[in-house]
Amino acid sequence: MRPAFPCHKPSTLEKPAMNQPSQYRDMPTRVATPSIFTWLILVIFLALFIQGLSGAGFTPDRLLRGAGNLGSFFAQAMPPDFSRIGPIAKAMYETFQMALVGVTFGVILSLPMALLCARNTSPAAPVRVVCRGTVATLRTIPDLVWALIFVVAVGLGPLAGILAIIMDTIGFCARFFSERVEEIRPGPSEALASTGAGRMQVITGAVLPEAFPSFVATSLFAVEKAVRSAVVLGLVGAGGIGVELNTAMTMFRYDQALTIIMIILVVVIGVEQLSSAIRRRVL
Amino acid sequence: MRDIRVHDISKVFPNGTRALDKVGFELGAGESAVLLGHNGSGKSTLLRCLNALERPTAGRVEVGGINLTSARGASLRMLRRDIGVVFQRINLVPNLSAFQNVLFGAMGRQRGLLGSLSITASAEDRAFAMHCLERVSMAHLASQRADTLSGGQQQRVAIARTLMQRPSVILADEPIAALDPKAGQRVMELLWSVARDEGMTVICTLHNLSVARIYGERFIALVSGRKVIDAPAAKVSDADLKALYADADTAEDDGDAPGLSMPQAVNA
Repeated sequence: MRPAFPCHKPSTLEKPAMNQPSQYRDMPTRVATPSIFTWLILVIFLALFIQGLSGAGFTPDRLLRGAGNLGSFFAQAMPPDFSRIGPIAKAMYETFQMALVGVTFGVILSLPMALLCARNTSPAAPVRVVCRGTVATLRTIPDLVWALIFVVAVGLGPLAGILAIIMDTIGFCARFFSERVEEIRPGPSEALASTGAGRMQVITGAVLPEAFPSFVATSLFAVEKAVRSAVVLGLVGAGGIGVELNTAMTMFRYDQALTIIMIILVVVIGVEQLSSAIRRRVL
Repeated sequence: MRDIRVHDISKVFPNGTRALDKVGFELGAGESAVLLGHNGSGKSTLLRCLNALERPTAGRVEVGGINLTSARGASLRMLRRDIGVVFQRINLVPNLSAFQNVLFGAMGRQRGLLGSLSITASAEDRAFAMHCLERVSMAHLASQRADTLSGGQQQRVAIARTLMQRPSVILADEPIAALDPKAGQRVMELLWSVARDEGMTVICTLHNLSVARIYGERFIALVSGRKVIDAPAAKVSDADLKALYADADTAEDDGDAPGLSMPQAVNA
């Protein structure tokens, strides 16, 4: 009869018994024990989450009813009504123009702002702090809020939308431009300074050329962002296709609303494709 | 033509590092000197003080009789445009062409923001930039992006940019340390022949002692920021140079320059 474990002989190299818990007294625990602070955050999060759920009426029967309503929306929206395609296309075109004009001004204003914000090009620390604060404020206020403010200031229509997009673009572009400027290698700038070039010449000669591809990419992202926000800005009366969408929805013309949504989809996807194609070429 | 007078300059960095300790020397107009010393000996700091890229904490530097140390603003720019610097890290603007990079050499002469961009440069400057590229045998690659050129080619473009300045002084900070030996040799030959033709005053730091032997008329050596050798090359023995690097192992090595191959170079 074969022995059950032919190789089980007492070894001369006695291995430490692994089942003795006392062996490694300072063994790390499987999961680091959370601190009181972590627990506190977890409890606050859970409280807010549960309250949020019940506050929004997040219940299965409401979701079910919602799904039913969504079904009837699509039933009424089908087939989409293309009879007003002319005015809708015109509104979409206006939306796109709003985005383009807004981003163009935004990018132009972002450039000096970014140079004033970046550590290596800013003339003085107080200037930098003020500019960074300004950019952060512009970024923190949502585009829809800007639109509401400018509708009050300049009245209904695309101008309010354009101004809102300018603000939003500066908040976005100035920040990323200045971060790119700070990443510039100091060598070429120093080389130009050593030839006797002035501060502005160093910026136009060494800083901007090196950062340019990144500026283009960021600006294209800004265009994508602006086209999407220009659609929504119309909802508060700041011009563009949002006005059409709002009208169609409030008049229960879901078939026209669907046409508008489809056109928005086509244009937004088109802009994104185009911009990523250009980015690939530039970078 | 400008001479260089260095009057006992010291440089202490804010972190307390004493990079230069009362270094002084004079170099006549049109003369050349090779600056030696191991990493962290203060060579680069000394060179940077000669272009006011660093300011000495004590002492002063005069170039062509004008005090560089106290120069600011426009007068500093005036002085700098007469002092060309060739860097170890070649420092071309990577995504611009060789031609555009060379044009930047004229920036010190221009006023205004857009002085030397290729769209705004004068016909005269453009022609001179091509002449400079020809001088370093790079005219055929004028419209190539700088970052597509080899290291040796880039350093030649950098020399062309320095020529564009029409300087009377050239400071070269380990111009061949980043290059392979053959490219390095060509760059050194070019640098020296250009400087001789134009009668420029040259100070060049070198790591490679055999190269230093070929080009050096005068050796100035630093150890821990202090000048230890300052003599015509013929009077400096190989043993002296070897001794310079003998304690390199014990000295603090900042590890910034590649290839510390000096001892072999001396034996060769």
